[in-house]
Amino acid sequence: MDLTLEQLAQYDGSRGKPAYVAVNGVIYDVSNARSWGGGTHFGLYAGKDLTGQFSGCHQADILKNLPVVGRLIR
Amino acid sequence: MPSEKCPISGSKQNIPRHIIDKAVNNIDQSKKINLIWLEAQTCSGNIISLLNAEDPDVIFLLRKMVNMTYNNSLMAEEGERAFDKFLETLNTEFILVVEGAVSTRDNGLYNVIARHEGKPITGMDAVAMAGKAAKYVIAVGSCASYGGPSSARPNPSESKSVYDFLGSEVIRVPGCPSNPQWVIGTIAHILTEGKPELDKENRPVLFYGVTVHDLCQRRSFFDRGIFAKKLGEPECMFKLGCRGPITKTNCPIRRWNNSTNWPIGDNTPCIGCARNGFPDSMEPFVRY
Repeated sequence: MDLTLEQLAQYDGSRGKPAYVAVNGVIYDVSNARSWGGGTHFGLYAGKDLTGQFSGCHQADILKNLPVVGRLIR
Repeated sequence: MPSEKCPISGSKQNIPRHIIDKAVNNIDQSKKINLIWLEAQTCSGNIISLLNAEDPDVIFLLRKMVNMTYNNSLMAEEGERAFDKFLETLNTEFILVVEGAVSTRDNGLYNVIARHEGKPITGMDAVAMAGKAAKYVIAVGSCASYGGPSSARPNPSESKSVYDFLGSEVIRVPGCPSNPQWVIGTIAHILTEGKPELDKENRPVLFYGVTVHDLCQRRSFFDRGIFAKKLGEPECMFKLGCRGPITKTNCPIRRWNNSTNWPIGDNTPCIGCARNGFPDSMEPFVRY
């Protein structure tokens, strides 16, 4: 599934909605990731492109365990 | 039957009587070590929590385990005479317990804990003095352990954890407040066996070895993907922002208030009060 930033914002994990985040153009499903309770993660919210925040905290290999939803498009 | 998901289930059948006997026999009141319990930049929630201890209770701690020479909430002395006790203890072998963060702005003047010979003594002064002299330093509660609510944004008092202030070894016993069992248990381990095994954040593995999620009474709902949609529903509160999966304590089995209950048992998500980053990084506490 390809999503624009505006469409991605709908998947913010609130009210039972899926929680998706984009990193380096790829959209991942963090709905059941244990550090993403309620679609939130150490002050960050799902439904956004978090490429900058991700690179500041994690190595890329942590992403391989997350389900891929699709790509972020303009 | 041992579970692959729960790292402690295999050992649950082996809780040994000999460990209980060893703990009882090795608490030797003839060798009570001095202990300073210093309240720095704190709400005093940890000393209040300590009073709620059971098995053993705080009376056992004071009579049998340690000689608490200084704590402003519990000691009989007041004012200058109280702080004299603090200073006298520095020349002995003692354990330093700090609750509360170290307020550092303007040389610590936002947290004055005593006056001595006409001068204000800040929490920062006291932690520095006792931290250098203590045999063990234990940070009790999340403010002392990680900065906690005292250092939450915008942190006007420039508060920091005891470790960040002292830069020397500090055993962290976090929680907001810390459960009295974690505190007395850590002290008991020091008295009977020496320093307990610590994890990479210097927390006793004994009490912080597994997550709240590992032991949660609602865990089976999570495993089956059944989630509460609002507070008060009996299922897993992960989708409401529960921080149990990233918070290591034994709250689900030890519980609180004489083991009466604990947050998830009372229908509120774990807010991660015992972990690094609380409260700022654990917000929102509830997500709808």
